[in-house]
Amino acid sequence: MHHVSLRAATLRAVWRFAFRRVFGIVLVLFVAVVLTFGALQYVPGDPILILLGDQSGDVELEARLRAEYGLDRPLTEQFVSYLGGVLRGDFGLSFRFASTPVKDVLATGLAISPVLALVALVLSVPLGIGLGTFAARRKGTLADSLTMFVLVLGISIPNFALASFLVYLFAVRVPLLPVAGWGTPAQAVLPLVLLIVPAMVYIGRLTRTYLLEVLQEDYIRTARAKGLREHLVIYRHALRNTLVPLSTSIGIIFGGLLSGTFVVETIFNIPGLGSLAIQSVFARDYPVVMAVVLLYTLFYSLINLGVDLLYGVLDPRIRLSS
Amino acid sequence: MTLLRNRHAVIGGVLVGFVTLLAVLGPWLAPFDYEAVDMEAVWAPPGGEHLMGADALGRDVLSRFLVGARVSLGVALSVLAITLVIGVTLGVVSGYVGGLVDTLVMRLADIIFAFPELILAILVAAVLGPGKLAVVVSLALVWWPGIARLTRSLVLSLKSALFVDAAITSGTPTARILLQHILPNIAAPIAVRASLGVGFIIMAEATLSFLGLGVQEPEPTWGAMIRDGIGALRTDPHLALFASLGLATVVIGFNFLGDGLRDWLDPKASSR
Amino acid sequence: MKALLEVRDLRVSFGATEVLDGIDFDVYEGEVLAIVGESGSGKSVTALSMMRLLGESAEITSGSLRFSGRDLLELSEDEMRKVRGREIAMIFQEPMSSLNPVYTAGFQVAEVLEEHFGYSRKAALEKARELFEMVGIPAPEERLRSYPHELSGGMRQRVMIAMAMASEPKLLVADEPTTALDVTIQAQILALMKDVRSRFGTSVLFITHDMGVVASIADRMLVMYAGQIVEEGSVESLFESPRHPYTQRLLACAPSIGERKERLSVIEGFAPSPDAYPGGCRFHPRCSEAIERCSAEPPRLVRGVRCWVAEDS
Repeated sequence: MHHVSLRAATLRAVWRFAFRRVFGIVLVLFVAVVLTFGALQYVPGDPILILLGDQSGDVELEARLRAEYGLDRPLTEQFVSYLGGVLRGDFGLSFRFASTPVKDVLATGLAISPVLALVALVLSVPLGIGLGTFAARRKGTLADSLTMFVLVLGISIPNFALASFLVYLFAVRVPLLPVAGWGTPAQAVLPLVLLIVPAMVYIGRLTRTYLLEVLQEDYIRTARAKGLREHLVIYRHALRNTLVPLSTSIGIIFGGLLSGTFVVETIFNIPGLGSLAIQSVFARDYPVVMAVVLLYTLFYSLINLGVDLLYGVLDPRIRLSS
Repeated sequence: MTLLRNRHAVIGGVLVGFVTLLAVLGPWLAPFDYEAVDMEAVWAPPGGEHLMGADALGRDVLSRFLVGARVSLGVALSVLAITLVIGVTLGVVSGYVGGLVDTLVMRLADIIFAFPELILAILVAAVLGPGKLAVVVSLALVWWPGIARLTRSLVLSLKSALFVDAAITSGTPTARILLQHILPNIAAPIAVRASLGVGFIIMAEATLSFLGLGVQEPEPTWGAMIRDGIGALRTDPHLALFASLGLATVVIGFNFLGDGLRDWLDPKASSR
Repeated sequence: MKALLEVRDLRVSFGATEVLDGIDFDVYEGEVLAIVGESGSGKSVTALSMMRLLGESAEITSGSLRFSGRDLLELSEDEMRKVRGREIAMIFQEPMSSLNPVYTAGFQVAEVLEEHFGYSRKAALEKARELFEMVGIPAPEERLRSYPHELSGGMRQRVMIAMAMASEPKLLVADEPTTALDVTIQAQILALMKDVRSRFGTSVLFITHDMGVVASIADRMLVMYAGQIVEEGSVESLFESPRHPYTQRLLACAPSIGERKERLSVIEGFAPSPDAYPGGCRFHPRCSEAIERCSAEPPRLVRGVRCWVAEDS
């Protein structure tokens, strides 16, 4: 009957939603560009003088560098060219590595940090859900209390504090795993564990909470009244519904994982974007810092957009509204 | 469950109380000057004269540990104070006045939420230069929108409450309504949110200091001590391990305490 | 007539509080037995007990549920699971929340057939389409793919009935299935249930607080008050000459069929709470005909009524 118009309305709603979200992301990225460009103007020290170093008396070289870096032009012109560059993935030239484009400086890290964060996300979600389900199904028992205790502990211990325990244990006491560097699978184990534990624990706690709530729902009673086997009741009917609220937390978890990569890269000397950004802050290589800021903001926005779309896929009710 | 929760709150309270005591009495308890370099004592193991050993410069770890507690809690309290002032003010104005102000404040909050925390901190650290100021500013920047949103929603629900409505229609001055009717009623939930936040603020401060963006030498912080200690874990694990232990203890303490407080004020959430 | 279900001395407790105090009744083959009472009388607990679906906080402390020759209370959890949805099916009061929001209506019906009869997904969906047609869902092919939020309350209750009848159960337990629905929809659902019952010969245990509904669908009825059966008999005889003062009041203030009343609050006073049942007859504080004996000695169910006054007359 009104089915056709219903589907059409759904489609319109989806487009409106997508348009609003993409516009929101563009706005955030524009703000980020303004912020980073503004920050570049206010950072302490003259980058050209830093670049010149010993040759600071060389007026000709100074003028040439200023022209190369575009710093001799009016501010508005600089902003337009910065914005245009960013849109093309060109973040200007590094201050630390003279005449080297920022994107070349970033290349190595770009192949490491986002991958690290994504792998950690992909592994921590099922682990966390499993842990939370385990605890929820045993609510009130010793196993539940113990799991909850471990979860609270895991959420409270900062990952670099955990790192010092783990590195001490696995690399010093029982030397099984390498404690620094990047390139071999063994070198990825400890960094991944450190990224996964806090995310897994966070997801575990949420899963337990949501699952206990969902298990009170009328449709769970219906599923039992149908005579479904318990694992179908839990996994097909209850857990599937906890994925809906759970999906909204993935953005927060990914944000945490991005921060986590900074820490983990610092601890294990991994040449990722995080350790690059930190080194660049100290080396006053601001174009690199700002490029990392922009990239991470972009990743974060894209993940949040993905989460919203996922939410729509997981909950049929959302496909119509919002 | 309630008993267990209460037990958590009690454990949390004891841990927080203990660390606060250390932080307050730290300078008097410290056996050494935390800055005093002693080349004789470089990486001295725990025990003897240096109860927690010494670091790469021969500085007494126990003294630095105690002063570090003071620095951590000090930064956390500063951030909390700034966050509450800005967040509650903007939240109340936003919720009570509404209109354009409300839209502006909430959009600003949305934009801040769109950035990952640490990224904002790095931006601030780049502009202000790494240091205590950068830590306080960036954490306050990240935390106020949450408080503002909470305050706004509380104010909005109160605004439609009968007694506030009565006060408005009877011509009570706005300032008086805010101080007498609104603020006292939103204080408790905001306090709970704030107490839950302390653990995370301390963790964030430690993270920034660990990365080198936070509190700078020679002032000690647990985050920086862990960074210095991690490189030496193989030979001299005491520095990183003691500092990690301290940090974990205080964050666990605040999280337990916050959980307990929330359950106490909001029994409905106690099943969580 | 042959009894399909024999309930004897059923007792249910929430912790230390007994909410069902020794219930006895039979459900005969092919009949509709209504259980009537205010909310809190124990009628819903009785219904859920038939399925052993009371939840963690409640416990069946004694009694027996003889169903097709075996005691349901003696079955293992897995044996009981095979009874649920296959031999005894249940529909609930809230069609809004009783269907899982993330699965299509067709899938939720098909699930029963896959679970109990090993249907393939395709065959189960085909059978679900037939069932949708049978319960009067228009455009069944499309409705199979509809999510619960896309259906009206009445449609959802039809889906629930299709789900319950999928396995052609011997007993259907219906817990206030029409209460949450609009008046006209209520009448439609009642008509559908009568139709289904005559088509399959299913026995129905119908829980309601609505005397109008009882009159329209039931053969026999039980009246429950404060965890006990206070009167039982055929609908005809009870409507004509109710003996228990409580039944008399229920009938006196019964709304005509379809009129929406959440609870029967027209009787003076409040239904007592299970942790503070009065001594003697549990109804005596609200009863205008109470005599001295009523507050002193609890009456027993004798010849279909639990009342000292009615028994004497």
